[in-house]
Amino acid sequence: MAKRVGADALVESCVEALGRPERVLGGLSFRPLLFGEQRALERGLQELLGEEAFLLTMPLSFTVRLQQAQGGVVMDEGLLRARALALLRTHGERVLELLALHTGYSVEQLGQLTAGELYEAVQHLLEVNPLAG
Amino acid sequence: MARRAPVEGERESVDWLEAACLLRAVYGLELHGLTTFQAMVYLAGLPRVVALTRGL
Repeated sequence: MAKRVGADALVESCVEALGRPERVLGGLSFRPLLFGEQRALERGLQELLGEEAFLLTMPLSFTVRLQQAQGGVVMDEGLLRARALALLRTHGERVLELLALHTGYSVEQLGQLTAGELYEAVQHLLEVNPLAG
Repeated sequence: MARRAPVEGERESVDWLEAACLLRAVYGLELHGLTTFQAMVYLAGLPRVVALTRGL
């Protein structure tokens, strides 16, 4: 019975994610970008942040598992998220300019968001965790 | 060039050019009009589409 409920919830979240759900953060609304735009935003982040862009473009749980598989030092999701937020703060203005290109919002509007909200916005635009709700 | 088989624990990356052709041919959809998740869901359904068209 519990398994059935779990499956139903998964189907429901899949259907919801297929509809490019709106996410409101700091009063601004974001929808997942289309395929080519997602790749362009990923490229932009890689050019801006270098190899650490993966902190924004890949699920943190995947990064943790990858570290475990490689047998090296493992940073948990909290630490990885803190590092991602620090990156966003360090490159603040340029990240805002990049996001302005992809969202239609101005740098000033996006500048009202906290680093945490910007992080969530990027994750949602790129569908990093499409079933997370 | 021959494709290298994925080793254990490594997921074979999606060939998006091939994916775009399949989406157009099977569903009549353009990859650039979909999000990555939408494309992945359609692609995941392909084996079922093939089975249905074969009457399985």
